[in-house]
Amino acid sequence: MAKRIIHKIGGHMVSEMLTTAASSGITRRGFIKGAAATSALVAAGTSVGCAPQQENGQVDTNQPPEEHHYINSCHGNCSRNCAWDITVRDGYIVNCAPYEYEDDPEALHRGGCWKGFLNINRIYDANRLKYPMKRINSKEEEPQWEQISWDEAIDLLGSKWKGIVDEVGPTGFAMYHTYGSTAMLSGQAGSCWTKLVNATGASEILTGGDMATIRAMQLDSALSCSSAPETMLDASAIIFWGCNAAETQWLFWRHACEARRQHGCKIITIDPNSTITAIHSDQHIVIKPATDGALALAVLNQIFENGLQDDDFMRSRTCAPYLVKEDGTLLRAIDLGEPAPENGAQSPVYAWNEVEGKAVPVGPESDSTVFSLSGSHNVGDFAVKTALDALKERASLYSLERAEEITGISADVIIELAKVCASSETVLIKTNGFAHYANSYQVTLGMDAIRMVTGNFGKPGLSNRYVYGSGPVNAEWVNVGKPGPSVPDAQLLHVMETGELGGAKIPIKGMLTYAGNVIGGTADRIAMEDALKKLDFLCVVEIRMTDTCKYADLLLPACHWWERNDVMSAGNYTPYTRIAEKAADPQFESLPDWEICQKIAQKLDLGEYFQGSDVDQLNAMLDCDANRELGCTYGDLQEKKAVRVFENNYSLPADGVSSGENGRWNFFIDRPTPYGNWDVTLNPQDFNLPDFVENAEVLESHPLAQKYPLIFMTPHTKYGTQTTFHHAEFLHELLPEPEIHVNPADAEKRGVADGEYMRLFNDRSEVVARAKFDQGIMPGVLVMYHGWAEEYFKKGHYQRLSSFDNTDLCSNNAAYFDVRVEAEPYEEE
Amino acid sequence: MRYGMVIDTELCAGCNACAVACKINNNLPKEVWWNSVVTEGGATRDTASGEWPNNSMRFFPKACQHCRKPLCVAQCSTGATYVADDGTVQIDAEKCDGCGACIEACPYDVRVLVQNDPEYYQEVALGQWDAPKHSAGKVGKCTLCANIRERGGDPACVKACNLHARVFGDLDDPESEVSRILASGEREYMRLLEEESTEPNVYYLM
Repeated sequence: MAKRIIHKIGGHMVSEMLTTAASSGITRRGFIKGAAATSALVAAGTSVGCAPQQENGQVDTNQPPEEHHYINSCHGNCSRNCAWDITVRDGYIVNCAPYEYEDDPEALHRGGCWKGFLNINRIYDANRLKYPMKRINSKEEEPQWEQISWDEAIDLLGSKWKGIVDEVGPTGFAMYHTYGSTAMLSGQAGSCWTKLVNATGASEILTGGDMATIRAMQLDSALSCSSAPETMLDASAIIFWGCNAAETQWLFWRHACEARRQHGCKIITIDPNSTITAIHSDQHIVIKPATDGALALAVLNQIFENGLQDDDFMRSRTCAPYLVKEDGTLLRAIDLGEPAPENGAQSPVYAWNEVEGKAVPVGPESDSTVFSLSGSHNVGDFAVKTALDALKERASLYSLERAEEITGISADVIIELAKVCASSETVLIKTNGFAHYANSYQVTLGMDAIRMVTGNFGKPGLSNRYVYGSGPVNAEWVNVGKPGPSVPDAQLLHVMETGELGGAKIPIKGMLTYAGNVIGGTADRIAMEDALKKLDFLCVVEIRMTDTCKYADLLLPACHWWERNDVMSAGNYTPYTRIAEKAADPQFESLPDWEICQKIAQKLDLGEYFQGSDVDQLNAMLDCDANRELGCTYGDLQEKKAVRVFENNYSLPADGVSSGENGRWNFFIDRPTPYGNWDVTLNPQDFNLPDFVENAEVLESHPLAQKYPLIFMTPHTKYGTQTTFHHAEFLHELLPEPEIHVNPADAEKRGVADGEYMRLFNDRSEVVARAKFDQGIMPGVLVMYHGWAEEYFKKGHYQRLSSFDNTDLCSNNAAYFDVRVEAEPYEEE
Repeated sequence: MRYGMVIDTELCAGCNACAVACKINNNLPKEVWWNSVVTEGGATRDTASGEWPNNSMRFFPKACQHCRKPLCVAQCSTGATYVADDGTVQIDAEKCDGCGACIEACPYDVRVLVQNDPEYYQEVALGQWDAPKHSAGKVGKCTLCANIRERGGDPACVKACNLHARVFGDLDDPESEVSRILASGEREYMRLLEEESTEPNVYYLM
């Protein structure tokens, strides 16, 4: 490893430390600010005061009080869902520590993070929802609430829901979640809520969060390829493409640094800004926002021009030899007049058999050694070429010169990057900062294509997703019916205005939101607010007051994650299925999600599907052969707390065979269908191949570029997970309010001083927050940490500045970063 | 015996997990932090220096440095602050009269005087059952979790770090991990404000 100069921190550092300390409210004399007493939150209903207490509330330390330990997890959707060891005294949750698994002496899987600790704040949050509350005024005003009983609340919800069903049918009521909770019984997917959706046949509103990557990976079959995070320890190079790993994917950062220390692994970050990840990488490649598609294609072009592709792999394991028609769809047997297969299978695709000199159908068992990778032919009435030819043609449009012009990245850097990308010792991480623009879906296809054409896919340690598989569950538990139609949330306002989507009637009048803060976490808040206000009835299930609550007719208080029983399934970055033990009673009248669903179902005459206790459900959900073999039933978990489901270095698929058609990986998407399967005509040429689509609002060529020259990003950071933790008091002691990181040159040009309020605005809306001079920000870019609710802003809210105009119809992607603004000093009225 | 800490600033993202673990475990009052993250970079927290894209930024989680030559001990008029047998610097709260001389003396700004009656966001005491007490007119600081160590555990900040950037141990024991890391020559390291001659027991890997 290269030697580095030993730093000396001198007088400058001292005054800097003082500045930092002062700005956090601690002077050299530890002056305590403010005596404003926010009401402490301690619920009735638990036994109080067994521990000897002093007057100031501190425990008498002469004797140790009784303490209990419970294992639960963070249920937020950060991909890690770390297990926590929770300490309870007198029925109160008083401490937590990252949990250490028994079979893991090196603590590879020990996690926890700053946010997990903030659950302590969340439990005692003075603004927790304590009781069901009914709105008593208009949605044009700040909401006013009347406390009602659970019975009254469920009666109200039930009568509204039934009324709507009687009037327009079950699809008139919708259910909507984002990514707020990942627990098995209570969370966003496969849970009691999913069961309620299925039982009622309610319409489902689909979030657009992260959909550019997710939809692309659904279609190109990349979702069946994954590799455990620790497999990246062997890499010679790790590329963080649009990923501020040290803050948002810290497990990958930990592994990357270890790989570098152990054997000199090179860490490369591709990012417009100098994030901490970029700064501590070996190479920081600066890229203009939303131009990643051009970079991906330029890299592909370099791979082909320099013969870095893996022909054998492409021929045998990918769509490369498939024949493509001029309309951008694959040649299939039905095109040639063959009948559709009886069993509902896909009509076979074709490849060119070089030996026989003709097009032949492709099956999973085909001998691919005879397939052509290149060549144009006529088959029936169709002029066709190979999918690989189509990809190469697309890539050839992105010469080094053109790519440099678009991305700002120089030719030599692109050439070197292509070589690194082609290597089987390289790990490419693409989570997920590139994916929040109008053109991001096609970028995902490009990044996946890079790995597919070089043979770096579906092999141990080689994937584009560094996760474990999912722990086994009894999939039947949730199958009590079918949901109604899906509505991508970018189309929700249209549906509310017209009652239809793609020609299908969807007469939504009522809605229930769960497992997520849909207003805080969704782009185009203006459209979302309009849509929610058009509802006859909105019920919001929440733990505390959020921005979504403002639009509700009824609030139902859900308990905190640690106040109910559940299970966290193995998956994402954790190889263990672990129990999530109830550590304390729900505060006030809040209830576990299961009980809320049960009450609702009973009122809707669907109680037969919601019998029994939470523990009964958990027993049933884990009841399957796979779990019995693993020793991972709920009974096992009650005893063992955590069960290892996956060994370290687990990779999928074990045999390198994709779960896609013919067992092949697809960089070419045939007849792409939209997420949510609604009836919209997608031009195959728009969504079938990697592309640089020049439609993103933040591109220099966009019509708004002159009027709104600044690009406004709201990334995830170390401080929060979506909006979940942004109300925590401990956070506010460090970050009292939102900040806009701005390059000093951009701020000074506009007469904005460091720390002063700055107004950002575009044609849609405005937001005002403090400017924060940061030399690490790309000139022309602004960065504000995502997660703050409207109440913390001087004025406005950032989600009103983004637009569903910048979604793509295939993925319904929420284009959070695809926002142009202008900035000026804020003048108080 | 000389307990110390090694913190890897290549790993550290300045997330404050260690700071909040300390705050909770020690039941610290509102606005009181014994451990905080200092940004070496721009003028304010979480900003870089340099000129884009040639930037620098590094995070230094900072608590009591448990100096071998602590200036606070030298200035303490009541003998409240002292070096314990394990090499850590501790405060006997009963002897502290809140004069603040130690705060003036400490160049690291890691000692906190509780000026008014401590306030909390909730009525229950958080953290360890024997967390240090806090009262008006007393100075408090990192104890390297003396109470947890008495029970055989590590300071709360160590396990709290999800990046595994902290190592704790006995610097006088050549077999300890902290000693091994520093002796190996594999990593450059530094201490804060060497010119103050306080000889901290907290080391930062670069």
